[in-house]
Amino acid sequence: MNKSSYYNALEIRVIENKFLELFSEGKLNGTVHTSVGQEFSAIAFAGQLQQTDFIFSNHRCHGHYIAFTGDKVGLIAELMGKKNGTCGGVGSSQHLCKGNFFSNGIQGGIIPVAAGFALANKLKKNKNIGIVFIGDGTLGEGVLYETLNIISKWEIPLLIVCENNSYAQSTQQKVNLAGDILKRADAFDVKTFKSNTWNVEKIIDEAEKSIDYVRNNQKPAFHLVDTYRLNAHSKGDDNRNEDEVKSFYDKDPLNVFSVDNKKLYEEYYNEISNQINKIVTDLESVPELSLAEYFENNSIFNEYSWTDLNSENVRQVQLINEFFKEKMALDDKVVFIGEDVLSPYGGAFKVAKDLSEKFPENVFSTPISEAAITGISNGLALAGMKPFLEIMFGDFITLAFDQIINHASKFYHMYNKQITCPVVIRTPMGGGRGYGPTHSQSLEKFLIGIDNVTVLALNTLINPKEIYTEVLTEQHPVIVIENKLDYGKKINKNFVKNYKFEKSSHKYPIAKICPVKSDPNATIVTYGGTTNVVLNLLEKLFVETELKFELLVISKISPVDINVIIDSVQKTKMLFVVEEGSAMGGFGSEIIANISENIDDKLFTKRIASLPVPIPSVKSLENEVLTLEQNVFNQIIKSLNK
Amino acid sequence: MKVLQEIKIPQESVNDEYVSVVQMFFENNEFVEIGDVLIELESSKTIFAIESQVDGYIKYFCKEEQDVSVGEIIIQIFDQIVENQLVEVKKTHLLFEEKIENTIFSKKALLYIEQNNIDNSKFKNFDFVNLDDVFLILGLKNSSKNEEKTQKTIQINVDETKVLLEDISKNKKREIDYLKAVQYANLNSLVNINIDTKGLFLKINPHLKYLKNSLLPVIIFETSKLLKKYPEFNAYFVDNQIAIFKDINVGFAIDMDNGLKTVKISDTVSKSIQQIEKEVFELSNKYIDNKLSVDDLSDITFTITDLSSEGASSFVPLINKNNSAIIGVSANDEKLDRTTISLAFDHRVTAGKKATIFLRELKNRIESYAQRESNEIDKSIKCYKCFKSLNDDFNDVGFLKVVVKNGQEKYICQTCFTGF
Ligand SMILES: Cc1ncc(C[n+]2csc(CCOP(=O)(O)OP(=O)(O)O)c2C)c(N)n1
Repeated sequence: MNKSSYYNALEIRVIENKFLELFSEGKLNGTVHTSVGQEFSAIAFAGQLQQTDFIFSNHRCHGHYIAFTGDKVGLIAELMGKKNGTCGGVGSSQHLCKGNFFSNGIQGGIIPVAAGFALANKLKKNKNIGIVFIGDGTLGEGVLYETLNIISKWEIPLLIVCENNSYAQSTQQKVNLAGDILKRADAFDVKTFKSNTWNVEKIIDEAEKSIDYVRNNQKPAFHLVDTYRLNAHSKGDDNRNEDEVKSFYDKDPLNVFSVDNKKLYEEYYNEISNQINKIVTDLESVPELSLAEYFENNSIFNEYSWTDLNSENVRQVQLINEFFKEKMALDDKVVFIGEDVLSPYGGAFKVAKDLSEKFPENVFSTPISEAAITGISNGLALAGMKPFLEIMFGDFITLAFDQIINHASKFYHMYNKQITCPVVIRTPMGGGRGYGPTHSQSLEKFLIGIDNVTVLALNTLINPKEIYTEVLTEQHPVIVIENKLDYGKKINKNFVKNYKFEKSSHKYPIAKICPVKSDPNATIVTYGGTTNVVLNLLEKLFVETELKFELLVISKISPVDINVIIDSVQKTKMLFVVEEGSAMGGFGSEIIANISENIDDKLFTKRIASLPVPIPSVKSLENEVLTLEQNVFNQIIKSLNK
Repeated sequence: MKVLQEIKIPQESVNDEYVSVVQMFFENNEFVEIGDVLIELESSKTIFAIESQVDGYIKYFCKEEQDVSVGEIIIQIFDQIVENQLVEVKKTHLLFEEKIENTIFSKKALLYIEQNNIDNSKFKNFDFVNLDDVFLILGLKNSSKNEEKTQKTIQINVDETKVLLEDISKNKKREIDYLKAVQYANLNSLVNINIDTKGLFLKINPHLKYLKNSLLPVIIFETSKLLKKYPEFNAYFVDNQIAIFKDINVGFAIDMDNGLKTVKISDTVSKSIQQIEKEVFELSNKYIDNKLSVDDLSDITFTITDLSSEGASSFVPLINKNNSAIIGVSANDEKLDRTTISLAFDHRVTAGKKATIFLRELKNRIESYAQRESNEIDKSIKCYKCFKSLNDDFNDVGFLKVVVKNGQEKYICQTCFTGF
């Protein structure tokens, strides 16, 4: 019998009991899920990994954290909300990060992230492996199965440990779980292991076996651990049968140990308790993180200047493809991921043309699993790779939202700036091809304003290579909106008569199209696919309306370098915002709100947008619904005649 | 090759449509560094210099003594040496002319032109012509809108090493908006006050060497003391904020044959009346000899314009750029023993009541000279309140010795002691 593992398990238990005590005294923030009764799973798995390996865990993560990092002070400080906590108190119980340990409170979401982290190890050929802990309730999350499929197919060295305590929050397993747990992993041809926390020696052996299997074979495995939590799900929420709990209490190995080795147990217990009490006392005087330490308000009122725009006379899709060819040749951290991206097909819009032939190790053509491949990209980014994920049609990005919002966007701040997640997601939006309701929409309104995520939109005025070269240097998540109709167009300053084309000095330049001589007296702001629509209308609009428009084409649509628009509207006092999505809660609403906050004069403002209905396939209807030329023209004229 | 910095002629003064190039300090394609003075320009009011904000290779688009229009590009700084050809291309490009293919007329403009048989060639160099443009060309409408625009685009630069910025109050903002409706951007106001000069010159003249019968040195001297007390007159308005100068550099306007110039007496508060008089004299000579340096013309925080020799009985002085006020000195009415001084001020920065208090205090300070007896005694002692030395005090009563709060003995001048 390994005494030190009892000592370590008891340490976890004492700390967690301390948490409950502090919680009842009102000294902890939020909630706390303890793993009392399940400690030997943490000892067996997290305790037997190497420090170069990694762990992703869930809401019930304290044991995993202590067993892997040994950082008691960091954990206790974190839950007490102190600034020396492992995440400065921002994450607290469910969101821990130290070295290669990460936990997050979204059930299932961390599984593909862990797979991406493991894939990075495989690409780096370093033989490090990782474990992702899930509970049995999380077997209900679909992204688990997307990931099981991928890690099996791609032979990713990841061990999934399912801690089966027979309950999900208040619900008994039999209520919600169909069939057999191990058969699920079997079905994906993932090797399975099984053990339980009541036979301490066996679980330690079995854990080691499964860890070795993953490391030596560079293949995934699924380890089911039967266990039981002796405390409530989080605090008081326990409706389980008392006799049932009691029976598990009696067979709990630490409780058995306390009876069989009373003296030793007490010796351990006293030593640990004293240590933990001292840590808590010492921490009481540590301050909390201040807002200034947590949140930097990066004002985007940067100075800028204008220079002439160049014409490339090359198709946009070719330039994007060239970017990848050039950068992937130079940097093996760049990874291209997407559905159907293998040559000769090269992706639905041919951006990936020839890439898989030139860089077979760094191009991944994935199953149809948007959530998992976004999570995998997140994991790759956390592990220091530079993933570029292609979502085949913009409409499908909704399936990736959990990964964008609860993972990519939050990692940096919730782990108190210890890590960054420079994931890049590219996707084409826009209609006009008759693809119908689910392949034509412009969903930017759901992507702008996500914390810590930059959203860019390509257009046919600014060279996409220039944009992507900057994207490559970003430290935080970037979403790039491309446009289906623009891929085939050349990057050109379209010759609109008597207009000059300039671009701003911003990192992601704004294109300005204004009369060569006259002072403009109206501003139009747009981005992406509607740029060409507006350009083609400028002359016609002038002839009809007397308005000499200045057109601003925004590349970075979130957050926007708003001062450029302010400067223009300050002169013209008239602002039209043209976007292909529908108007409510969209880009135009945001711009107009921002401009009204910043300019005191009376302004004329108008959002020009598509109609709020699913985009019909039938051409004549699609023309009327979308912001195509005639429609934009009519909307502008109508707004002026009001 | 990249353009790192592009320098356009800034709008230094509202009235200027062009400025003259005084001196260029580099050859084309020479390497310049951040902070290097690249060019000196002369506007109607001052000579000013432009510095490089980047390191790079310079290319000028102007010549010395040439007049260049406001807004025109005169310098570009590149990241590498520029082939001449490229620059030429760029230059013609800047003129835009070649880019205007055909003038585009709005429907309304075209209809009006046709109906009124207007000659189309009038619009040859236009890019777009709408009805407003037609009216403008025909003189049926003045370009008030454009004027408003040029006024608005005046760049006001704030050097925070020289000023302290303070936000203006909500009330002030409202007041500005209210007044603006009547007189756009020109929110200046004026107060006049008469100074009783009876016996004044008799008392002042013995102390003046060059400028007998002139109030100017005394006014400069006393004003500088008051500016310390009323900093809003040593300030200017910028972007809904008030920039208050840290230094007090009173300038005075000269307009003889070489055009109107405002020249500086730097750190005016620290100078005696005699020193001030001497500087006024020397600077005036420099003006006549055309030897004023850029420094003589810059960083003036308050201006005094003295038209007393021209016989004006009162006038409205115009506030200089980056100032909030100006004092005008009119001629002395010898029959009435009276001189009018006028204080024009920017209403966005201060208000009439404050201006009146300021002016009244100045009047009292100046008039107090007449009451003083002359007697040459100890000159080095200083008034502990206004730091005026006995040397500057033409009053024979001298200073009073007082015991101040901490028990120390100090001197105080009569002006500070009696108050006004
Ligand atoms: C996506 C998501 N849905 C719901 C929850 C709320 N929630 C937190 S823990 C939990 C139960 C999880 O059960 P299980 O996976 O078996 O883990 P256990 O709590 O038993 O350790 C639920 C429903 C969540 N955190 N994330």
